[in-house]
Amino acid sequence: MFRSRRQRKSRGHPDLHPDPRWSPRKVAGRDSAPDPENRMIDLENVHLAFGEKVILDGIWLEVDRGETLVVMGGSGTGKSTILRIILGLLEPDEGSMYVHGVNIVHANQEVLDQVRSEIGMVFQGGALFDSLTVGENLAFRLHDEGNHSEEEIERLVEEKLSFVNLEPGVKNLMPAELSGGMRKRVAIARAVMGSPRIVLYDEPTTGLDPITGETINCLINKLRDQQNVASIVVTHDIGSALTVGNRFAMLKEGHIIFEGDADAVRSTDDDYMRAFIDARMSGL
Amino acid sequence: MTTATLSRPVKSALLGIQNMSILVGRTFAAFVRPPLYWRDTFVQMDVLGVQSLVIVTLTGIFTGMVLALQSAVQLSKFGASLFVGQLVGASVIRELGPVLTALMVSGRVGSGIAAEIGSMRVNEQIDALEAMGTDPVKKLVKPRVLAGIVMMPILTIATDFIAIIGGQLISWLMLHQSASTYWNAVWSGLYLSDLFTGLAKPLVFGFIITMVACYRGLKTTGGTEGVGRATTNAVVLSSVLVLASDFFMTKLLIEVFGH
Repeated sequence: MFRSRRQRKSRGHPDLHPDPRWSPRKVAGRDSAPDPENRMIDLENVHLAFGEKVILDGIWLEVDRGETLVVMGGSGTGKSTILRIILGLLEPDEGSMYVHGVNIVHANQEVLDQVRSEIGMVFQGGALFDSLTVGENLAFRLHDEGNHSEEEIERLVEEKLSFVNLEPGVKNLMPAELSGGMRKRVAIARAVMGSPRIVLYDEPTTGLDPITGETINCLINKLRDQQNVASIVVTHDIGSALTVGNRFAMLKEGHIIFEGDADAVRSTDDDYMRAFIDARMSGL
Repeated sequence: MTTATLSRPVKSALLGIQNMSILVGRTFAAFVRPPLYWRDTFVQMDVLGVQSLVIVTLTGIFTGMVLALQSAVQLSKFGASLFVGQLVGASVIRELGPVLTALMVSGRVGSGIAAEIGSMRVNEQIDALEAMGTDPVKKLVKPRVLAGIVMMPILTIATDFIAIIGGQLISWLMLHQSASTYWNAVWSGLYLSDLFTGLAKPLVFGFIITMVACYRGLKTTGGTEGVGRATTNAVVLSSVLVLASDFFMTKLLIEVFGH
């Protein structure tokens, strides 16, 4: 398990925040005082550009344990890019990215592997391995770690399938035999196989009918409430966002233009935010 | 054409060579680092080797038959039809067997690897692997490259043998040569170094085909269209590299063995 940033700071660790006076910033939409021990994700002044195109231009985001942050925004605004940076799949050009106190920018593979073991990721299309059965998909991480018995893996697979309300028999199906909703549920089950403390969701309800979408929303909430995980949900589905989110951030042209809780979202007078919500609510 | 427009493809090519070199380095490093993924390696050996046997058998038999047919017609004019076996054996083992096997495997397996890994890339499965702490080079590239290096020499031996049998069939049907006459001619045209040449080349070809296919697959962008592009590029690039490396290896081996 990682040492917290405060513990690491006291040892003068090079990954630590360069400013010794640093403390977590007070976040809009959160009443409680910031607690570094609970801080799971911390993006500080993250910049990223692909060639001439600026994707992220000074992003600050924080997520605490047991909290769900919803990142909204139009297509191509860099929402999924944020998730890829958190996973260490992309390196920002500038800024820091802390996962439970560990800066993963320029981190070596060992640190990245450790950090990733704390994170579960639900990809937009599920990203299930086509050549493996559902059971093998779920067991993949544990098999790769190599320190679990077959009986234990079998038990955990059935336990996670049950968590996402799927029958144990589903483990023998191939991903191609699953419906869209089942694929998403299996993807969630796979993401939580290693009991992560952080779960990232990329458009979890996109392409699903409203009832199936609601099932996914319930699972996201269940995971947060039962396992106290910190979550980031990237979506442009405002209905889903309001169901699962504690806090909300709106991304536009590389900047966070809004940050707040559900009440702030509903009562916002920001023109872009208003237009986004109204358009989504009216089904446009 | 301006310097800027000229430099763009040059930069792109140099970047490609750099990325390919990095992947080659990471693959070599992965060979000595766990996990070894033996199961995946054996699966790939089956896909690359066992499932390619039919296609290399057909390639071998027709190549041997055509070679014997052409040489029988020409050599008969000079009363040298006894040398058909020698010509078939030497040509097949030194050049045609390794190269034709490599080109067939490149078309069948190289395209398959590029398409499979490319699809995984565009469907975010590679990202999912990395997100779960699994190195795609160890999990996907290493087993395929290892299978290519091990199975290509075996497939080439099969092609060589079948091609010589094809030649024998023609020499028997057209020239009414006995099996012993034909096989004696085959042996007489071969040197011990041919055995080395015939096995060293497919080893390198296996590496080139699988490495290029994995690289193109991992670099796939642009959805299903990108997968198609990656597949075509993998086959074209690996075929050209096979032919080019064949020339340089032949030159080197002639320098080393003197014939």
